[in-house]
Amino acid sequence: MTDILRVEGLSVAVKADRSRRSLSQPSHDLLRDISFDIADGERVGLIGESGSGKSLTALAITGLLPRSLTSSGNIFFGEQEISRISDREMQRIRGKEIAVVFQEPASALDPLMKVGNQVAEPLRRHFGLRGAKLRIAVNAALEEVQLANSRRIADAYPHEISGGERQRVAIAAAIACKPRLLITDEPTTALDVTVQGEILKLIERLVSERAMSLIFITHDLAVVSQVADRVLVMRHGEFVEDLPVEKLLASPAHPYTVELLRNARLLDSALEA
Amino acid sequence: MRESASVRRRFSVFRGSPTFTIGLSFTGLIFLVALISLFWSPYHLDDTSGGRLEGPSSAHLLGTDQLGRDLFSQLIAGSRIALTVGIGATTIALIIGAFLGLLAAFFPGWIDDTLASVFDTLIAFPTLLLAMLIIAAEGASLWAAILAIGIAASAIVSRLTRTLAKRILTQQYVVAARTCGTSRWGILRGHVLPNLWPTLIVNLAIIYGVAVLTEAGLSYLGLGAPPPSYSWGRLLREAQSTVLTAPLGAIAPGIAIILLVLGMNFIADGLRELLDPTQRGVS
Repeated sequence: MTDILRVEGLSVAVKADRSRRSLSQPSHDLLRDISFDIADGERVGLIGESGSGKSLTALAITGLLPRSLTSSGNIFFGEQEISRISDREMQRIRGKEIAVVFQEPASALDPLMKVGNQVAEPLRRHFGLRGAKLRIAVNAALEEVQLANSRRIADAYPHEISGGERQRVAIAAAIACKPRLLITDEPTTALDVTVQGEILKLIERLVSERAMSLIFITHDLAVVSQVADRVLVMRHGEFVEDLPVEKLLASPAHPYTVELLRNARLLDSALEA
Repeated sequence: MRESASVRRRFSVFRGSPTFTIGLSFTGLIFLVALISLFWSPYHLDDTSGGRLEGPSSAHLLGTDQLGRDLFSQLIAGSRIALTVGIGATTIALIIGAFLGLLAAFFPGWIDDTLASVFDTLIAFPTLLLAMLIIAAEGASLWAAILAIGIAASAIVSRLTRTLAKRILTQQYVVAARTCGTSRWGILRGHVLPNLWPTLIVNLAIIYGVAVLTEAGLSYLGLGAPPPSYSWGRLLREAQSTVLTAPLGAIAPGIAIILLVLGMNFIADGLRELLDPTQRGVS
């Protein structure tokens, strides 16, 4: 299998502020020399506590780090080095080759833009679709994510549809251009449990149907074991573990992973009791 | 069927906000008067046939001034100036302010830092004072007043635009749109402007009121449009010396100014309610 994504020695740090330079603060590293690769069609879970650098990794891959941060290291998408290319070139990759689904669908959709237009945007951009063709493609994308009444949904504003529907719309916008790599950043955290299950199933189905690669960011061990082939455990901006999902549950090596598992089981048994 | 629904929706705007309706009728009244004054006026403005400082009568609705000119005719003529100044100054403030504000928001770094400190410095001066400074350099005329007020008010629009645009740019939906491959230009057009507009238009309505008030202030100080044009501020100034003998000369333009400024403020408040997207379509 060929690698679709290869990250080599990625570090992200807070840029030394002009006004604060005199204080000679040591720069604060958010990601420290992380390397990993993702094979074509592979599903990788990225797990770790809040602030461990999971979402930052996703932003670094898409080249959307806030200006206040600097990064170093290399990121290869297929054969192409994408960490140093211009924003204009990156725009051609974002949404078309690499797409992202965010945690909070309510804030990931523009409140003043009709849902259909938000799904249409990447299609218009990358495939140059207009008019009737665009409408058909939008409807197809909405039906793909099992939004039954796609016409009504396309014409609604985000606040007029439910949370689960919103997340489906966000997924529809992400997969509309048939990307090869899908990054989902805690896509189920903001949803209630029944909807969570449906969204997970939807992501699983889409990923396997389209043979997409998946980076699934979460802090939920149960969820990650459901969707991922391989799991990367992050802590304080570093990888502490990289192993297949069966192994993670059976024989974790790093003490942090052991602790994570123990806590997850404790919680489960507490809930059952 | 579809048409009637959209018509109903259009009218429900007025039911949605009584404040907006009141504001619109105040300003609408003055707008109507200004329109009529283009074609008709009870007396010619130079007509001094009336007696000096007459009280209200059927011949002179609001009486006459010191030179025997009809006050009502002057008041009507003044509405054109007030509206022109409002529209002109607000448009200038919008064009300059929105451009500079967006420039600052989209180019953090030295451009933003420089512009931000300029805005802050300008805002520290009262609009009237800034306008007086510009007029001192330009000389007093109606267009100088419009330009001066527009430039002075543009600092307010710039700072507002900059703050709003910056906040919008950090929203998750902008990041999400970026991950879909949307360009900066696409973000500006598709997300920043639509989300900026509701707050901006509310503030423009307020700035319109401020512009009218500032122009009246300038004219009162003799820095507005010079005679023979009749600004409400100048009517106030001229009525000043006879305010005890003929109070209507000061009260009438005063009320006209209040009506227009209050009307624009009511419109602003009404728009604030109406443009809230979560309220849209809720009956």
